[in-house]
Amino acid sequence: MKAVATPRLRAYVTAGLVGLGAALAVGDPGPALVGTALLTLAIVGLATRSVPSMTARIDTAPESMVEGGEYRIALHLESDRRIGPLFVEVGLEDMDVVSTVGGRLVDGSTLSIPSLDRYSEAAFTVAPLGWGSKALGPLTVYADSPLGMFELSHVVPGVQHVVVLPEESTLRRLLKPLETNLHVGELVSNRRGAGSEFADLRPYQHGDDPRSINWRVSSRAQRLWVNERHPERNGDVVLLVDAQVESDTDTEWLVDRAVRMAATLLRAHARHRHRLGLVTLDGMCRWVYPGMGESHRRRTMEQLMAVTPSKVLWEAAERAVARAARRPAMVIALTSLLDPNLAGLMHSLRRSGMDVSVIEMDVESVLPAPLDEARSVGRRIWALERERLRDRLASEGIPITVWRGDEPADVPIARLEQWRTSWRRRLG
Amino acid sequence: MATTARLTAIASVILGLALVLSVPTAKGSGLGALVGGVGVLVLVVGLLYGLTASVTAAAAAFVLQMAIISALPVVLAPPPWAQTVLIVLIVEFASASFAARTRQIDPIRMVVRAMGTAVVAGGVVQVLSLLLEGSEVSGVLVRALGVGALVIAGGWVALVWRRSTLTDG
Repeated sequence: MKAVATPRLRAYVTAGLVGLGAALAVGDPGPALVGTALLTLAIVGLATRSVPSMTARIDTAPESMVEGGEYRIALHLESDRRIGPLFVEVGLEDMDVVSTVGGRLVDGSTLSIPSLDRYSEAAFTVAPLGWGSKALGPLTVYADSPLGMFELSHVVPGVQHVVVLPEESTLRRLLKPLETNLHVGELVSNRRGAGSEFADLRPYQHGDDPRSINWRVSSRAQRLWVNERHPERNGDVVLLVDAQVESDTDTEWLVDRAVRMAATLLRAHARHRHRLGLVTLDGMCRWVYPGMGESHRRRTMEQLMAVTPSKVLWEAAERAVARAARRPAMVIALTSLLDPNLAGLMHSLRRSGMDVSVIEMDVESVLPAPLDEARSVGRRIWALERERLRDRLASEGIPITVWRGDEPADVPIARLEQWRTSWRRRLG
Repeated sequence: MATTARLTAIASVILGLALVLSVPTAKGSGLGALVGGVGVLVLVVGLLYGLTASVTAAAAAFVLQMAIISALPVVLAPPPWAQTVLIVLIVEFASASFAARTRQIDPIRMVVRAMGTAVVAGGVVQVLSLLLEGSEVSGVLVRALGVGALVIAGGWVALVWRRSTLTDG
């Protein structure tokens, strides 16, 4: 631990010496008595100094948390000698301390421990507030020396980052990718191959597996027919999260909604063994190629939680989308459509044959009511322009739906599915 | 935390004012009160602007005030032990105020320690004054011994401080 003299030590030493000196100057023992007493305190404080050697660390902390959950953060404290009352302060960014073990909570994230006898363990139970990447640390332990002449402190400066995921909404249905990739999964592919779903019958050809012969049809037709089947494959899903915001509005809340929906979709599609990709459109415009597995899922979530509402650099956005979104991926864009550039991106993806859907966050719900007639007219024109943008997207076969503030996450997905079904019927 | 810092600062200033206002009203005691008053002023400014050295300056000023009054042909009031108790309490509360600005402190423990330290210091003064009572010391030799004791005490404190490898905050 590091020991720093407190103001009282300097005060006692100086005042003590001044007392002795003044007594000599005025020829009276009174100030000398006071000076002697103060110097005695300083000398006792110095003589009883004890600077222990200490180790402190965050022993257990989860790698990721979910909003609304409760998580245990355990601390390990070790000292080479007994230390009196001490305080342990842990940096907990956006976390509420629910309960503590091994000490009393005295302030935000400071634990008061009566004494540390060489080894101790303490723990916080915390509840994260809001999603994102949250800092855990630094860890600071401080105590006083006997008589309080020195302040003892031990700082562990490292900071861990914990990803706090948003609460997952229930999704009873998911958009199915229209095209599948070559990996085994749960989707019935349009192609023919080894699978369990019946596709068609065809005459037997040399080299066909005898187990695929349909004996009932063959006996009626007097020649061999075989069953063709659809293989089960998985799909690539690329989420595009648009974090564009407008100044002086509450559009940040829409980004929050988009991120929550994206997290829900990522988790739901991961359960269906789809390969997941992500493009986040903010000041950075980063992407994660479609992939599977726990480490990939964690990387994707970390990137999603690092989304920062800001102006989007559209040149960088185009590059990011072009890299991550490739056939046969299904792209789901979560956007407020504040910038027509996003619609342009969707058009170019659609023209390249991609399966694209758009969930639009309801911007109008967060805008203040127009103050006068002129502004009201301006708002109506703006709403018409947005409507035209939606119509243009829909006319190219891009399903788009507005997700209203009071609707559960299931509703826009259901609307998109319905739109796709009716579009396919229309195309025959 | 901010409340503790404010309360302890107010307590130290009130005690400082009490110490200055308690000087006997005799001819020449105005100088002592002036020195003590400057000490309180320095303490207030230091507490307001976060200058820890103000505690040292104030404590030295209060001791000087006492030295000036004791040189006058009046009865020293309050008695040395009571002045010691007050000076220690002022120093303890002002130091606690500075500590509470940067970290958590236990207010009850702080008050108990301040009281205990003050009582011990007051007791030391009272015991020493009882030992000196009735004896009269004067002359060049005694003064030379006093200066020698002062130099030894100062040197010893400085030596212990340096050897302790402790930093001065």
